[in-house]
Amino acid sequence: MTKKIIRALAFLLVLALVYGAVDTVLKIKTSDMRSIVLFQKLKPGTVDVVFAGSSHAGMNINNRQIWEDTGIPSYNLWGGMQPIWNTYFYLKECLKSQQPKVVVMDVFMCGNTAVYSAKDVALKHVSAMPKGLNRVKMAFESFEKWQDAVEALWGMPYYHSRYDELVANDFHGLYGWDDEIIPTVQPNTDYVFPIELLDGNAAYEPLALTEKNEAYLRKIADLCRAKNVELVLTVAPFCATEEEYRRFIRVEEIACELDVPFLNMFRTWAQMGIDPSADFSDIGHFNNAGIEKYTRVFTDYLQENFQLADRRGDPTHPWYGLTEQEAAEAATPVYELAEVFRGDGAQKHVDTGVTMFRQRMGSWTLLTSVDTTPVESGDTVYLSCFSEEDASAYRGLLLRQVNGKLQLLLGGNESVELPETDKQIVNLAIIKDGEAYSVCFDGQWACWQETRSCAPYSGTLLVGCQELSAGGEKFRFSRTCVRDLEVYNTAWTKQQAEAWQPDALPEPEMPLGTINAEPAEVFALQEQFMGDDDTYAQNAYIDTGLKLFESPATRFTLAATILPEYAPGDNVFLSCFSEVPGEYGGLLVRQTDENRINILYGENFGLDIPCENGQEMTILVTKDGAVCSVWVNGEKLVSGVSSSVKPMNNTLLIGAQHNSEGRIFRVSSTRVKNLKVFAGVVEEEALLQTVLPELPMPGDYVAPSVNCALERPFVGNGYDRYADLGVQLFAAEEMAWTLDAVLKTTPQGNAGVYLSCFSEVPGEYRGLLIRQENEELAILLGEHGSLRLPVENGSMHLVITRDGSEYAVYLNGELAGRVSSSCARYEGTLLAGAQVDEHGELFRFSHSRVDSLRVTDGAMSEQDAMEASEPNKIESRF
Amino acid sequence: MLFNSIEFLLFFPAVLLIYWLIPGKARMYWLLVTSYVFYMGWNPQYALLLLFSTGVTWISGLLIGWSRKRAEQRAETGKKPGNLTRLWVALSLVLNLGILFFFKYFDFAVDNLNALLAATGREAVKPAFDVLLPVGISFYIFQALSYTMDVYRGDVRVEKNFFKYAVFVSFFPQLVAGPIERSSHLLPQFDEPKPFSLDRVRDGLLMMLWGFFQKLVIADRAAIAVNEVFNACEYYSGFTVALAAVLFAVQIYGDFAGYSCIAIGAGQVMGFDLMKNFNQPYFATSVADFWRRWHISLSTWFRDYLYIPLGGNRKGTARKYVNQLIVMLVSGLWHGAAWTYIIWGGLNGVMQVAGGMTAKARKTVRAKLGVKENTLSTRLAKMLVTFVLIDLTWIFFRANTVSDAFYILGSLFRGWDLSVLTDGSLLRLGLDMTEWVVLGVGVAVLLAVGVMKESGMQIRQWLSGQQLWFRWVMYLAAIFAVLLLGIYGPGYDASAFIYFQF
Repeated sequence: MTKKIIRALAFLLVLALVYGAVDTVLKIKTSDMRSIVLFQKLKPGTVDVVFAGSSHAGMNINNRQIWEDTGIPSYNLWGGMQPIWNTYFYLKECLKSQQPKVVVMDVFMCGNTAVYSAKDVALKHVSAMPKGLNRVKMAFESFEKWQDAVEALWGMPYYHSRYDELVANDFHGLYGWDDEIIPTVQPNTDYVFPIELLDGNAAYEPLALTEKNEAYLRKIADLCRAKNVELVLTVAPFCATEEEYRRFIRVEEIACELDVPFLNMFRTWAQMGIDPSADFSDIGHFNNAGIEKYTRVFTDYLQENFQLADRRGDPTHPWYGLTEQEAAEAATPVYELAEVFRGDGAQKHVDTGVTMFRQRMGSWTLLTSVDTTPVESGDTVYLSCFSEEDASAYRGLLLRQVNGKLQLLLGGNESVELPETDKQIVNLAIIKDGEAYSVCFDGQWACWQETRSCAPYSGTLLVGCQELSAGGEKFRFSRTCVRDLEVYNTAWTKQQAEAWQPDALPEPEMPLGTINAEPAEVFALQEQFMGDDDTYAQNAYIDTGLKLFESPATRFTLAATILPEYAPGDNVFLSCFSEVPGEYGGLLVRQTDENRINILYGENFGLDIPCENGQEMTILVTKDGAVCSVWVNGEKLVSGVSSSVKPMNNTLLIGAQHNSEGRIFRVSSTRVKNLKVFAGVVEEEALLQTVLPELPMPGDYVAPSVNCALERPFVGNGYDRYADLGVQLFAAEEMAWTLDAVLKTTPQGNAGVYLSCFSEVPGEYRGLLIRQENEELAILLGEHGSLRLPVENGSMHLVITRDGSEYAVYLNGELAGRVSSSCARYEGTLLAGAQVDEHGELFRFSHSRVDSLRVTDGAMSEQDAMEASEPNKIESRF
Repeated sequence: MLFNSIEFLLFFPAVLLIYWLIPGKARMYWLLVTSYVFYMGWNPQYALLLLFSTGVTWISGLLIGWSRKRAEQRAETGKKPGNLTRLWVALSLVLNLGILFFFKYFDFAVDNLNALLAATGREAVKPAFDVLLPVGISFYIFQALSYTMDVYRGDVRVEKNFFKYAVFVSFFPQLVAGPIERSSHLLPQFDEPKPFSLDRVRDGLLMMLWGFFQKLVIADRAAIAVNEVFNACEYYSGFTVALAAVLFAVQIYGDFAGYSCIAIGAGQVMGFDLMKNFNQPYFATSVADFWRRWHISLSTWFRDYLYIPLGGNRKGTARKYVNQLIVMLVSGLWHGAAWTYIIWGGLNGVMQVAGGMTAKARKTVRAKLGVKENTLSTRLAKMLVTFVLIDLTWIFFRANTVSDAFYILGSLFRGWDLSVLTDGSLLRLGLDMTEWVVLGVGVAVLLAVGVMKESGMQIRQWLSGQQLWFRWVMYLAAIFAVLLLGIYGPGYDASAFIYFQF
């Protein structure tokens, strides 16, 4: 027996060893888990500042920048959507091996009301944690069901089937970017996603945090106090809702009570230089520019408020020496031109965002290919990173044409003698290695390692213009052509520079009329525009797609025949107009009262013309750069008035306008009998002879029937299956129908989209969407209506009636809710099991099952709908 | 709780540990407590039903014993015996089958009544309550009823110890999906708990491992493709449907035989011997043979308590066929409250009867054709025909509705395009290439084990005779096959064992 027991124990030992090896290989390893994983590998006592929290801590702060600027070793201890309790347990783990002086915690997740984490998020956090009691406690705090927590602690139930997706990293236990000496932020981006930030200094009432969040926030404060670590709370600015922000105000109160500093960046983002329209890459995170600014705030704050040593000179510190990493970075350009640059001489330019002279001893290589064809008129700047703020201290880099020849100013306003060439396109390499400059022009070295001094200048490299001072007003917009441009942050060798070949970049789309020599028709109305009238088979407004004011240099001619017929409400005939406060301008033709047509042009110059209802009028407009002319009924009312319009991307609309956010509004019931637009300016004589013929009327609109039914149950497969019922539920604003559907539902899992007839165009979300969101069935109706029903186990019999903008939803024989929501026309059709994205492509294929679906014209009465939505057991079985 | 759940993974070792630590006499009580905990894992209220059924059958046993004794005493004294035993049996049957009907068939009955009313233009009946089917109710009620009938027949002694009887009815390894044990076999085992034996524990664990392999690696993997085709049958035809039908045969066997293995193995670990439930059913050479090999505990239950009381084969051939039909129809209904199951049972009955009626004729034809009866090729041909017939009936068993079943049957004869084998269509059934390979290998292992068992080989015995290193490698391979290749865990909708619904 003893022998058998020993054998059994030995077997269990072998089993444990094999299991451990298998588990290590299969374990989920993603780059967003590396923060906590790599932290365990850090030499104890080497981190002085810990930034803790969710991705707002992890992806917004650049530890490397802090190290390079101040020598303070900091670490971002974070996980995506990491809740407060995770931060607490992470910190507990962290403080076992590190003795940071300061913990800066981002409280973004205090704005969240979830009491448990999303399963996949929680699993990653739990998996990444070192084994021990903290891991167990964190698991049980993260999952609602204890079974899920146990499975996450075990891990294998989650990742056992990864056997067919293993990669080399799995066998080496790597999480991605593991070789980084200093953990940096996630691969960040130059992408710009303009957002709006609320003003944190406005009066907001505090809103209570969830009990769990507040309790853990206080625990974190207690933990830091116990470990003698300074705690600083902060919240990075992001596109917050008012509700979220009110919770941060509550955090402010708690911080005050706990005597902990709270850096509420919503109050100070403007002073920090954060530009919401330029510094974000999505609604919650900064782009490179934003990260740099935001990190700088902490660099200053840490230096001003804490005695933190500069450890850059400490050869024992693991971050001492970063050559390997820098070498890897050197091979990657810090900037690459995406398409050929052709200046328009008005406003077109590119700001590369690369600062070339911030550091006197900095090194870089600039490689470019430019078209030397002499610029006939105006300014002639190809590239500039040049300060003209102080006439006695002009400095930087300026490449331009002077008298038809290239001129390069480099360093302290000194020119570089460039060899003669008769080539139209020449390559240029400029290398800065500390204060030594080298220039290779068309294959010949104009200078090699020539010492020039250039005082620091923080302006960025611009293409096609200059700026007076760093970040100041742009000027000297030029009609130059740069065919390629690359910038590297290391000094290249002679051989490297000589071997460089420019890429063949795509040609850019040029603003209207800036290329064509002869005027050419670019738009012609095909049938009369009858305004927002459902009786015609015509859209409520027409978007010509023409950006008339994309650039101050655009040149166009517009000829239109309008028919004044004043009616209450909006009366816009034509618009390509900015409604942004302070930036009003463009072209707007509208009727302001029964006998007056109002034309706004240029920088909001106005023109009132008497009109007679039913009497058509011909309007001619030309724009030649900044010069506008207007004729009405053959009479020249505006003659060559110079008025520049701030560039905008609004397009020419017939019968509507763009609002200040670029959305359509003022959809009008006006009539435009004809419209032609030409790129370029038509000579006055020819223009006045232009005949606008009578166009045909649009056909009558017939609202399509929505009668349809699924022939057999629909069962989604999650990747390519859907059913298109072929009916448009929102073909008109006033429609009445009844939708009767039996959905197979289960609260476990997430079936995804059941039914959709929904526009996913940003800013134009509308229609019908029925989808499962965890344990709720979300029903979106019209433009703003929504209803959420708990998902039942088995099936849900839904009947939805629509009568214009009134919706009623019935579930299993009872009225579940009424929704009032208008909905502009949407031409998409009713789909089961998928949706159509903003480009009209199918996506979100789901695993939903629709047992039956029938849509009929007309809205059922409440009584009928309640009866119709009764669960029917017979049908589902036999 | 499900055998393939995290709860059971924690529950079973805990039960075992205490089971082996406490004295032998206390073990029965420990098993009773843990069995009820196990059952209450689904819904604590269900335990009342289990208790009710246990109480009714135990009391009926006592009353039958008491009546019989009283009758004997009266007979001895020359009085009219006045035997009440039939009354107690009837009461036990009515009460047990009553709750079975109410919880399992009430909705079905109402639905059909409403269909009938609707057809005659009358208003439908709306019951004021929703009935939820308690897990495993058909199993434990049948097990408890077998005790009542065995006592009545005098095949077993009346069990006076309520706790012992209660643990017989609720014994957790086989409580919710069988094997449906007989009191004569299982009850005495609670009297003499076997001492701890490492070999028995190992054998039991290996049996459980084999069960998990069948369930998690084979059945649940096959279920993915099967569910896709049967739930969206209108999208598939020809070869794909045929493949799905074959896979369902694999799935239901892997699922049910797997469960039985886990149950038998769990019992064995604790020293209990549960009856064999499957005997390579797909190696059957006729439909009647199939039913001798498939779900043996249920087939024998119906044989002993329905077929034989109906007269069995003692009342002529015609009556035998009628009895066979009745048994299979009831068996169909036992499997589920739906017409699909009734048709499935009926088809099996018809095939058995047809098999019996044509047996002689077929034998004559074979003899005239010179077919040798006992060759491997003849056996294989019979097995193939039997499998095809059984598999066709499985379509009714699996289909969501009767109309779906007929649609799928029709699909078998439409759109036979073998390009589905090469154009990637099969990879759209929810299984990628790796998964198909795993499934293929799993089925091959299942087949190989079946062949070995059929040839009389005792696999565990054979394995225990091998060298240590070989045994360990095999054990590790089995453990990691289940651990890695099994379909379980989050993201996977922990599919219940198919037989739980009965």
